Amino acid sequence: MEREETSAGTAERTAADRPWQVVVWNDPVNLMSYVSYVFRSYFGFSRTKADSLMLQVHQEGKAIVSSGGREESERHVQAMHGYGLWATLQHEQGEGA
Amino acid sequence: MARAFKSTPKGFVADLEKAERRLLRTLFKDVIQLLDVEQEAPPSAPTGSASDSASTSATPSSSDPFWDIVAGLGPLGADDAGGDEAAGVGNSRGAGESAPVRAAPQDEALARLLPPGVHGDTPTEQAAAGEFRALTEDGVRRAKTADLQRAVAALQVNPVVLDEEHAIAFSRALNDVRLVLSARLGIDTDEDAERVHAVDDWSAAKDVESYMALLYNFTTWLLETLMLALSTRLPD
Repeated sequence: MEREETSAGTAERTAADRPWQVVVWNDPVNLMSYVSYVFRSYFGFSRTKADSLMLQVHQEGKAIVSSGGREESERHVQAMHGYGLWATLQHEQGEGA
Repeated sequence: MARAFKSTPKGFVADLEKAERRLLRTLFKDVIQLLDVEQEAPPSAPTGSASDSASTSATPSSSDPFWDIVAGLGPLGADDAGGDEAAGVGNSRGAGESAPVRAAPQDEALARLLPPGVHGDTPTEQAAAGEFRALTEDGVRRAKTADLQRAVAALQVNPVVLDEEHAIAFSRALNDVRLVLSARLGIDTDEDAERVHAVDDWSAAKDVESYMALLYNFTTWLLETLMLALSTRLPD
């Protein structure tokens, strides 16, 4: 089980250097307890942060759960798919690639 | 009835009846086979090749609606997928020029297990999704298959005892079963989920849909207890 730091959001960046984001989408099947656990165990989030993101997914339809480099974000999306969560990759404020 | 997963000094322990363990193994194996099916392969009707029904007794009889349901989860007959490679994060990456793309699975349940990695319907987004799929889908399939195979193995004995890492893999496998059942049950909204959740009487189940709903609720309940047990082991 890997625990990744996902703090890249604080790094200074230029327009050409926009981070990649991992978005998790709501669905009626994945249990809240399961989603929250995945956020805690995989990303290493606190219970409070994980629950808050989980509720954001549930209530707003989606939440950005991580932000960083492209390859790292791709790895996270793939891992989320492994958990059965509906995760997508996006380039901040714009189209991918 | 089963006793749920509990966190104990020995690990995560559940006391499951033989029939329940057999049921779960069958569900896990069906998802393994679903994942093993090539995208292009036409959906073939299961024709009593019971090669994988390791459960010594009951060969699925097509007159029993329950086994029809299980058969309906995916084509039977192929050998268990042999993917014991570790998760394929290390996929070779075709350095960019003309990146390969792959289409999403046609089958709804398989599509639920292997969702798009890029959201959106524009040609650019679709192309990015196809590229992401070409890059990651095989790895996701292998990882899921490995989880499911470990889950099948863990259910050979009672009580079921899992260490933390194994329990997490088991939770992924259980969730994959739920995702497949949800696709077959057409759970697309919270209202659909509530409708299915309301089905709770095994003795009244007489059609395929109610059996599937009961299976969904059973696996949901089991997963919920496992997540509760697992979450006690994490720091706040």
